[in-house]
Amino acid sequence: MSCTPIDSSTARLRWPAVAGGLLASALMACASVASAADDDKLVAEMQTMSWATACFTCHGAADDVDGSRIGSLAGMPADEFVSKMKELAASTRAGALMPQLARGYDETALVRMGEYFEKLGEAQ
Amino acid sequence: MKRRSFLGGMGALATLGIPSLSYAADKPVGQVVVIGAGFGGATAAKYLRLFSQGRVGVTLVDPNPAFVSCPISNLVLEGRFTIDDVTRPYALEKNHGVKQIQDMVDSVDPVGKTVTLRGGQTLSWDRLIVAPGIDFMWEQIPGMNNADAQGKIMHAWKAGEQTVTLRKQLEAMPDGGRVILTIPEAPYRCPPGPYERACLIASYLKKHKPGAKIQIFDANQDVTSKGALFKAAWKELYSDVLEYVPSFKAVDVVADERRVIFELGEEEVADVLNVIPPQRAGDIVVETGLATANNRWCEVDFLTFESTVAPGVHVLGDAIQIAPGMPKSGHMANQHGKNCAAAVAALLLERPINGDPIYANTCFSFVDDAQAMHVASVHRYNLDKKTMLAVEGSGGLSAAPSSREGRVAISWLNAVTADVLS
Repeated sequence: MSCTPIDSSTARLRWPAVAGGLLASALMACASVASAADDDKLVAEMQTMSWATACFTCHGAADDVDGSRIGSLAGMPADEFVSKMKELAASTRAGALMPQLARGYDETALVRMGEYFEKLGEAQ
Repeated sequence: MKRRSFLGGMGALATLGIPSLSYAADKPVGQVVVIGAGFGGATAAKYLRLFSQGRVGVTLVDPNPAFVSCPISNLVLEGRFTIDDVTRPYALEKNHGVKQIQDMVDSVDPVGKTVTLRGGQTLSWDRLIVAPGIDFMWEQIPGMNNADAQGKIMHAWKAGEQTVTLRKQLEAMPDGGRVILTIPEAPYRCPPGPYERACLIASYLKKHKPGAKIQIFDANQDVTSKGALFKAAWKELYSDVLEYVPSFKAVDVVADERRVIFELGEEEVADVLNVIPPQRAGDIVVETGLATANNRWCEVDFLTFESTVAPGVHVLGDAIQIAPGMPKSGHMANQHGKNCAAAVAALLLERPINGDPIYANTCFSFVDDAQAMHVASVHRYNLDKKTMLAVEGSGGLSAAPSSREGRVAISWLNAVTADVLS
């Protein structure tokens, strides 16, 4: 297993938040020195990345998609994301489809996804 | 929300003067071959590059020069769109450094870890991702089990030439003519797709073929998806044009006569006959011995999409033995692609894998040229059952079709194809 640190030139890809789970932790922490705590942190980051990138299918990644009325979530403050999703789940915020999806996520998932989308905006 | 440059969009990269992506400085950790550049395979190829920060080399093999979306392609039959409207270019090589080869895969050697292409080239891999979609069980409709019949009677269940030909057949049929659509027993690709197709053919007939009718012969006992919504739409919009006959299984076809024969010997003749055949996982995985469920679908570990019988080989999309409540859909294949990519990247980087995937499905069906309705669900890994299960309390259907959802459906197409292809 190589322990090559991230090449700073890759920062221009501007996927740090997207790839963060595997990137920042996985590649920086060498297998030989990674602790159980590092692994837990990494798994949590990977889960967040997995959960959040699922939303890109409709919402796009860091940008609105041409020809789509469904806006990007990047840069939305975490607390705004969480409260909107909770309102959708409770049907106190109107929506045709999102209330049905919002009811599939628990508090932990929403908070971590919210933090991810907020950071994805900062990564610009 | 302020507009941002799209990360992977090649247009945005060019206009912002961002250099083309170079991964030269990164030490590679493995080679992955992805077979099939549909919703699942193309997504897996792209996200594998992203999640590994370019450290995993990815070669994507598919015979098609461009991506043709099955979702929304029924609107080509209706006449609202042409096939070009649902055809999109691949930008994965330019944007993400995926090496894309336009060829068919001839064989897979899961032990020697190679793939041989029809063109003669042999590719080596550390891990293989196979997303072959579906192929047809022609042997269950013997009269269709030859190239001549398959050139006359369309399935149009893989969008492209078949869709265009079926549209031409509809255009050429006489006023007062008869269309027959046969639906196979579930499971098949896109559960609501046949019923949407019936609506959209009916919409075309109503506008352009006075007196013409469409009859649906369904091998299933009832409409398999969005049943109440489809039946309401048929009653409201197409009561004079469309007839639905459940529990009627097509078992043979006389292609030259456009005659279809059913289980109990009944026969019907159509002006346009559209046979959606029974389906299984794509040929390449069946030939490789990966279709372990009734020699039809591939069983996988839902944390990694690794085949239960071939270590190092991952299968995703329509070809897998689905988890309970999980549809065979383009949206779902895209979600498989991301989760498989994350797992394969982690395995190659020797990191732990995500043990708690959550992902969603969204599927829109049009009932006419403007109005659509959806079904949605959220799926989460269940540790005890070791499979993905629909999250209790989540998911649901539209209250009714609407033009608003019709516009959302087109947004969805544009968004998902951007996610898959660029």
